[in-house]
Formats: sequence, structure tokens, C-alpha cells
Amino acid sequence: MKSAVRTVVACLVFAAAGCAPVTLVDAGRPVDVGDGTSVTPQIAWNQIKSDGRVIWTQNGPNVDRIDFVMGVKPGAPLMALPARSRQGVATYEASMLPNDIEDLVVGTLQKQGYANVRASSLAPCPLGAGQGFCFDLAFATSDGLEMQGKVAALKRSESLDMVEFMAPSEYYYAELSPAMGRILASMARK
Amino acid sequence: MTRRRVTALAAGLCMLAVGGASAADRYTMPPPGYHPDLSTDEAGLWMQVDKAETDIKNSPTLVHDEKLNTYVRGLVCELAGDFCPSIRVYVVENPQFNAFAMPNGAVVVYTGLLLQCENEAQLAFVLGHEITHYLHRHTLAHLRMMVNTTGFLAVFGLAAAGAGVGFLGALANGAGVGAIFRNSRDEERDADDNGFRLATAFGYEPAQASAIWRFMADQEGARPKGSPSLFLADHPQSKERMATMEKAASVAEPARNDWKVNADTFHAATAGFIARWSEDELSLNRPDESILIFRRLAANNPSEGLYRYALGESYRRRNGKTDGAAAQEAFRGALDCPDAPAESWRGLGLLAMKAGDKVTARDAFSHYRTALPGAGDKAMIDFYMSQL
Amino acid sequence: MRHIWGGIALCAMCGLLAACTQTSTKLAEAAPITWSDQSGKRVILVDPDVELSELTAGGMTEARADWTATGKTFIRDDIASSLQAKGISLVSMDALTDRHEVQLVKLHGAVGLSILQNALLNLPTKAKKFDWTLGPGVAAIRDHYHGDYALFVFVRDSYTTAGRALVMLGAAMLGVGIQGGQQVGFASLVDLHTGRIVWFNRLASSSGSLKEAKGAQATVQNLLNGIPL
Repeated sequence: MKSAVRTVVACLVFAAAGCAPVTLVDAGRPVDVGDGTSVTPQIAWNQIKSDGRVIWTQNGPNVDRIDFVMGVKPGAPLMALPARSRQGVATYEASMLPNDIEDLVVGTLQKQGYANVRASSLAPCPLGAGQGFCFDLAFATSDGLEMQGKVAALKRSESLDMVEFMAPSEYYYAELSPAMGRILASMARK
Repeated sequence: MTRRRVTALAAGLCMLAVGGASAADRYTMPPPGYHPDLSTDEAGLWMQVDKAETDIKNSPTLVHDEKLNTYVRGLVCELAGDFCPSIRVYVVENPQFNAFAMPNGAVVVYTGLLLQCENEAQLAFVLGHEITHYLHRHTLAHLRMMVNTTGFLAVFGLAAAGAGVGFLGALANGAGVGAIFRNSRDEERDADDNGFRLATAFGYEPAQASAIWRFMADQEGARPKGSPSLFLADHPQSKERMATMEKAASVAEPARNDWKVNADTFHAATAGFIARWSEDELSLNRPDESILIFRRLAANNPSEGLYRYALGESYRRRNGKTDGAAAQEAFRGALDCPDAPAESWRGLGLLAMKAGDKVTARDAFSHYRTALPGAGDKAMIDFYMSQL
Repeated sequence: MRHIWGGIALCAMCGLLAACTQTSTKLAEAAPITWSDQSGKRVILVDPDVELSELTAGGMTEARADWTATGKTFIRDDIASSLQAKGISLVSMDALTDRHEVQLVKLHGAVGLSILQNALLNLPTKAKKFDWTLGPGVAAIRDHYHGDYALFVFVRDSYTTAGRALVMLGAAMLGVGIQGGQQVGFASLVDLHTGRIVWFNRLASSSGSLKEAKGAQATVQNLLNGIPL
């Protein structure tokens, strides 16, 4: 939710400058989502670029969102955080195992203001042509809206590619999950 | 309502009056059943916190367990005496060490507080403190002080203009807007003093009051500079409070020789939740603080493997130079305990795998699979094993 | 728990429109109003989120419980009589306790905020038509209260008491402000069969008052502007 407000504030700035930060991502065409990776969505999405990261949404980022966090280098945090929350934030390290990255994602979501974040069902899973890993998330927004999520990640030499999807447990998670699955399957390197 | 309770409460209030805490004198809560007149500023305050209370009632983070609620409510009721019917207690799953009272009589206790307290006496001192905020109407005093102080009020204006009830969420996230409902340091001292009197009147060992501040002070030391905990942000410094409480304890101590700490009752009430609350603490990903918390809890409860496992996880996640060895020791210790949490095997496996010790890793993972065949991350562990 | 930022954003988004329009109505396409029982048309009113407050000379907003209670009663009664005139009865939802219903109302809060935000975000996929939904899970509310539609109302109303012009403190932060004596809010109508938001109306006004009967009538009239019932 906080990031939603940040988005709004960013938009106010953009609106004043007369340019829109949101663009349309068409279905059926490969789209660059950062660091040389592309995906081909089967439905149209709204794309917001913020802090150099790519967010896709159907109904606005405070309802549903897919964050493409590509090419995270060792020593960097997973998510852009407001300065106030940045202190003591754990960062990605090249030696991390999937279990460690799961812990890191959970801690990062807590830092972002989500409550009772739980990860489950950590398992290997294909990400495009690569062998990555996935896990599920369950948590609540600070408003008490129950959310579900899925994270798919892939270690590429030193860096980490991660796609994080979240949506309300009520209706949206199940509704958008197939589209998310197809996006993951379409992942390709340039 | 027993006569003893009434007397204890009255004694607490009288002593306070003699002590001359000015804010408290002015705003002491009218008799139980009080509702502010609708046209007053106090009613506006209550209206807003009533909404916040409704949000808590409907929150997925509310803990519904009847036994736990009965236990905490019982303790609050004992301390609140005649005011018990005016107070509602909510246990909220949140790993922060915190509790707070709202001006309308809602008292919220975070599970992080329950995880980190060592006995009932410590919890009683915190609850006595929070109940005092309610009984002495500190929030109202604070509101009126703010109305009379222009310039400082940006925060309140914003909050009231917003949904008005978001401060709890803001508080949970450490956002500045929580400041509206924060108490001043004088009010905190008043709550400390009176909370101390309430809890000791019921025979809780005076020395336990400072114990809380001792380990909070330790944790402050472990925290990166410039990021005070929620509880401490609006409270006088732990060390100062620790010293004040120690002094008060040395005065109160000789009054009787049957002080109680009720460690067993406390553990019986919370035992079933330790695994979950430990996970909550670990999920914050602040290993420096987690290590202090679990080191203390493991030392106090040497036969409970859960604390040792959580300590091992804290070290493993911090991943400093000597942390691997410390984690290993904690995991092994956990497995020697009667409850032997199976996740300790996973911890040992992950450590060994990172260290390149394939034999140990394979052995530990297979123990984990045997001990916890339905583990959520079974597929991942199988994958690790296939790589070893 | 309601998030303060959400609340601020909500007000800011409503307030933004103050300068240009009083109300801004959106209607879903191809969502004709249909009643499952023509003889018993019922709309469920979700507990209106209303708050009236006073702006002190010092620039502080103080919630007023008495005004809020009065204002809420006016809103409820005026909506009821407005619908009554169309042969529709208004049923008030009880205090929320059911977990699923709580989640549906919270989801409406999140989607509603998105709709307000979209005035600025302009999500391209939402550009051509007004297309928002809570999903078919809303049937739980329909089955509980036996109505075909649910009405959600959010209003914040503030009054300047002192002569001094108000320095709205949120302005510095969000680049927008709610002026003195400002009324902001929104209302939405949800189809309890499909979950679609069939009508959504924003309100921002510097006149109108929920403190007295006549002003409240005007406010409700603005609030229900263009409702397709």
C-alpha cells in the first residue's frame, strides 16, 4: 500500500510534467522486462516503471501486481524501499540457496509493511528455459486484506532474476494465476 | 470483584495522587461505564479509535485462541479491577515487542511481547503500564496538549483527514503518523510508576519490572543506529527506565517475602504458540536482534528445543564468519531436547551444503525427510539431495 | 487494519477533483440493472464510512462524534428515501463479523482506491471502458441479505470553525490539499450476482453540509448522481 502511494505521488509528478508513467503491454509480443530478459504475455497488461524496475498490473498496483526484479547483484536489496525502511535491510548474496532467498523475500515483504507473511511450497520449477525455483506466499496488507502470491526466481551466475506476483485471495489471485503461469513459461533471454 | 482487587487499585491510584503526577490528576478516568458526551473532543477521539478497534476485530492478524485470550484477559482484569468490564483485550499476531491501550478501553497485546516475556510478572508490568494509559486518559491529555500547541499538528491533521483509523497500521509499520496517539515521556513515566504499583499490589515480583528494560536495552544495543524499536520510540530510554524500576524495586522488595513471578502459568498459556511466534520473529529478518532474543529464551528454557532451533536459524540467516559454527551448535542442541524440532535437521543440511560438506548435508537432509515427511519444501530438499 | 496512507491517498484523490468538478460519474457498459424479484427490489447498504470533523484555528482536524452520528443518520435516511421513491428498499448491513464479508468489503476498499487513483494513473487497459469487479464471491452478501446490489459510501466532511484560513497540512506532502469546509467522498454500486462495479461516483465539494437536514439532502443527491437505479 505504501508503494501504491509512492506510485500515486510519482504520478502526480508525472502528471505535472505532462507525461504518463503507465504504458500498455500488448498481448502476444515479447516484451523486455529488464536485464536482457523478455516475456510474452497472452493478455494485455499495464506497465509501470519505477526505480528502474518493471511492474505489471491489471487493476492498479494496490490490487494486483507482478514485479519483475531482474539482475539483482550481490549486496543489493530485492526491492526498492523508502529511505526510512532501508536501514538494516538484508541484501541478496551470491551464496544464497533457494531457502535463503525465500527468507529474504519474506523479510522484504514485512519491511514493505505487509503482515503475517508466510512462504510455503518451496520447490524447483522451470523459468523459461532455465531451472529455477518457486514458492507461494500468503500475507495481509496493512489494511487487513488477505493476499496470496507466487515467486519464481532463477540464479544466473552471480545475479538473481525474480518475478513476484501478488493479488487478493478473494477472486483475483485465482483469476490471474494462469496468466502469471504463462508469463513465466514464456521467459526468454535475449 | 474481590475486595483485595479494589483495594489494590485504590492504593495504586492514591499513591499516584500523592506522587503528584499532574497530567494523571486532571484526567483520571471517571467510574466504570463512562462514555464521553457526544459533543466533546473526547467523543471524537473515541469514535476514531472505535473504528480502529473494529478493524482489529476483523483483522486476519487477530488471534482467536480462546485459552490464550482468556489468560491474557484474566491478567488484564486482575490489574484493572473495577474497570475490567470497560476494557477489551485483543491479542494480535505481530512479532514486535509491543502492547498499547486505546482511549476507549481497547488493549492490544502483540504476540511478540508474549514471545519475549519470560514470565507472568513481566507481562503484568507491561499490562499495568498500558492500563494506566487508559485509566489516566493519557491520549486525551495528549490531544488537548496538541490542540493548544499549533505547528506541531501536521500529523494529526493528516490522519484525521484520512480514514482516521489507519494509525494502527502506521504504528505497525513504524510510520510517523503513529505519533498522534503516542504518549509524552511524562505520561510514559506516569504509566511506568502506576503500572509498577498495580502489578506489585498483586504480588508480582518488583525486580521483574526492570528485567524487561534490561533486555530491551540489550536489544537497543544490537540494533543498527537510528532505528529504535516501536516500543522504544515513544518511551523514555530503556536504561533510564531500567534504573528507575530497579530503584522502585529496591524500595518495594522488603514489603513482603512471597512475591510471585508465575513462570509456569505463563509458559503453560503460551507453549503451544512458541513455534509460530518464533517463525514470526525470524520472518522480520533482523538476525542481530533475533539472536539476542533466542539466546536469552534458550538459556532460560534449556530443555525446549524450539528456542534453540530459532537461535540456530538466527545465526544461519545472519551468516557471519562465526555464525555457521554457532548455528550448528544450536541446531545440535535443539535435536538433543525432548521436542527435537525436525527443522533443525534442515538447518544443519543447509549449513553443510553451503560449506561443501556433502556427506553431512545428505545425512542431515535425509533425517529431515524422515522426521517431517510432509514438509512444505520437500521437493526443494529432494532437489538439493540430487545435486549432492 | 486500515492503512493511514490508503486513507490519505483516498482523500487526496477525492480532493484533487475539487477544483474542476463536483461529481464524476462512471458507469459500467453492458451492465443493465436487473432485479431477481421485481416485487421486492432490495439494495444492501454497507455501513457508510462517514466522518465529520472540525478544523480548529490552529489548523488541527478534530473528529466530531456528534456531527458524525447526525450526518450518518441523514445519509442513511436520505439514501433510503431516494431509493424508496423508485420502489427500492434499502437494507442496512449489520456490523461486519463474517470473515468472507469482511474481506469483500476490504477488497472493495482496495479496488475503490484503484478507481480513484486511475484518474491520474490512466491504466491503458481501463481506458476504453469502466471495468472493475470484486468477483462473484459477492454472492455471499447477496445470499445473506437477499438483495441484488450493494451500495458503498465514503464521506469526509470538515468545517472551518475559526475565521483563519486553513493551512491544510497534507498539502506539503502530497501536493494537494483539502480546503476549509471541504466535503469529499465516493459511492459505488456493486452487482451482487457478478461482482461488477456498475456505477461509481466521486464527490468533492466546498458547499453542502451533513450537519443539517437540507444540506444532507443536497449531499446525498450529489453522491447518488447518475446512479442507474
